[in-house]
Amino acid sequence: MIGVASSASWLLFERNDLVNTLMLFVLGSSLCAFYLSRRATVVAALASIAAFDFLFVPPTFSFEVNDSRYLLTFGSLLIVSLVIANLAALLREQVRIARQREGHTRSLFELSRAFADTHDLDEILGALSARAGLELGCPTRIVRTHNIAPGPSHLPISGAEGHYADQFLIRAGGRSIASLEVGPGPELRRIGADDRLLLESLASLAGVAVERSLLAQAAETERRRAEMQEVRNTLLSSISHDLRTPLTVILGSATSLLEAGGTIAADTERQLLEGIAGEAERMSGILCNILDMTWLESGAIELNKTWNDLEELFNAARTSLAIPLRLREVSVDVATGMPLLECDGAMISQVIGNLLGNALEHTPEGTPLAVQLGVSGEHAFFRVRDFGPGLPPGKEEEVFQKFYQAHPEAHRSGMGLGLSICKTILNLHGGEIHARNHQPAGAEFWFSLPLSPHQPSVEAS
Amino acid sequence: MSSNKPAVLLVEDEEAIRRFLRVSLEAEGIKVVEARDGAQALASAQRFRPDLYILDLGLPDLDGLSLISALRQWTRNPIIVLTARAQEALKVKALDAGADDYLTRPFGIHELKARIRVALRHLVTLEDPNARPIFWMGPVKVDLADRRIMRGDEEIRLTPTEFRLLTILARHPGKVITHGHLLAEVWGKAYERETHYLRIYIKQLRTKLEENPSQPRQIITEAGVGYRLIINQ
Repeated sequence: MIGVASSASWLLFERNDLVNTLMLFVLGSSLCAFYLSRRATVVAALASIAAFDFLFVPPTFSFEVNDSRYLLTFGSLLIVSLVIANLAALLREQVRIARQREGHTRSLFELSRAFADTHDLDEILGALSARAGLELGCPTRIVRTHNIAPGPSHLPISGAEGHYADQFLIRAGGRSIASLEVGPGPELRRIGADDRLLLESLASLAGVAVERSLLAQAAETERRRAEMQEVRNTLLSSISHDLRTPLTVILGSATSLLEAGGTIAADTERQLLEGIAGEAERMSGILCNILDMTWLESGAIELNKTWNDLEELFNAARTSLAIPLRLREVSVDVATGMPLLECDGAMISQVIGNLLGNALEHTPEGTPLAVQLGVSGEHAFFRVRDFGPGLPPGKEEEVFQKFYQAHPEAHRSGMGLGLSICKTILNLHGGEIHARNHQPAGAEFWFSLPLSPHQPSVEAS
Repeated sequence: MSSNKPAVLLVEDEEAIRRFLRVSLEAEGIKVVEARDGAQALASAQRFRPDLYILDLGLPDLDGLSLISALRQWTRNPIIVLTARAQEALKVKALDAGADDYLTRPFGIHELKARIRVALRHLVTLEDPNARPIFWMGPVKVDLADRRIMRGDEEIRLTPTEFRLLTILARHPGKVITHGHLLAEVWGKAYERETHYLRIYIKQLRTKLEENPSQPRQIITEAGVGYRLIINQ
């Protein structure tokens, strides 16, 4: 820079045009101040003073100075350079800090965006560890200090073993739940005060996310608990109503029979006995539904998925309902080449049985039923139409709610659980079930099950 | 058994159930021996040599499956198990352990009597080594030894696989044969979980043998468990 300033001045200006020459040297030193460190700037300023003195100040080509006023010029040049150098250094530092802040802000933003997608504790801590590792280029890991959720107490996420020099606590709900440990990087990079600040911010952000996730979990648990409580209340009131009636009949009939002790007329005795048998059967149906529902909702269900033929399952359900069905005309329409389905055969057969039983129960004796099996898009479907009074308009989908009864006053068997059992089973299978009225009259129920992308192959034999 | 009356060993821990079963079965001319738990059951089985066993799978001292295995060490007589609802996996286990049939509680006494009749008939064929393997499925006559199946004068031709499947089912008429057992016997152990083979071949068998394949009366589906062959008596 000094060389350039000297050469340019030498070439451009007259030997005695010292003012312009000096300005060129000031420009050179200022540029040095912007691009070089403070110390280099001082050296450059001294060098330009020396060059100016040697080349331009009479006597030229000598460091001697004739006019002592030039010493003032030299001093000013030095001070100007230093002031500019200081200002430039300050500016550079501020730019650096601004950049770093921007980096930290971006880093916090990225992390909070990662947290927004998850409520999972492991994922939150994992994202924190990964982000910290990325920012520092150091191995990081998470160590759980307080087991607030099921999971390993020591959970290495990146850079499993080794020496971890620094620890940053992650606090949630007023206690520390884990710590982020950071080790020296491969180049043994020191963790500075800025890094420390960043890591603390990241850790506290993670703490907030963990707290939010814990609150969300607690809210979910509370919601489920409230829902279960409601189901339990409804169940209790339904049980007390629906089981008491048959129990009263059974108890009353049995007591009458015992007390009459043979003095009762034969046909009366038979009526009482039939009452006992019929009501016991009704109670048994109700209990089965309650048990099925409880079991299905226990969350411990493992579907026994095998390849099944929907038509075969329908035929099996039809056979088991042969006696009530014998007075009905059932038309069956099965699409040709129905594919096999992967499903729990016993459960789907139960759904079909429930739908058929439901149709039988809610339509006048002698009315026909129409069953259709087919494929629509990626699903196989089963549909049963009856020609009875149909569903209450506008409430077609309510029939799948627990304890829904179309005619609560009527003395019926299922306690309004049969269709909600169907819905639960279909949900478990990723299928759907719906109900609606059809023209001219009657209800229509249909369910669909997803088809497997590939049909199984069979070796010919 | 000394008398002609068939004898049943009833293993059940609920006294009320034992009592009504005893009354109902004795009315049918069946001798009933009762056992409250697994230990009693094993002792009584040795002493009385019953023709048939009715087992409650939920016993206080011994798990029902172990009892079935223990009995199967020395007797081939039919075992009917009583299970709770929606326990298809347990039914399959019981059948694979050697049970012949199951009834889901609560069951009707008619159903139990029907199953007992089937099981006792099966016992007769077990005991008669000279019984020719000929049986009728509705109007269809099956002769396993001659490999000939006739509907009236018309012969029904089965593929070798179809015939093998029918043979396995016919080995124990009336008994539920589990999917796994059928697959292993017909196609081999490696095919135990390939239920689609069964769906396809059972459908073919029904098309050939059933009067109305869409309302089968001879080859009965037990959803989630297996198949049962019903033959004429």
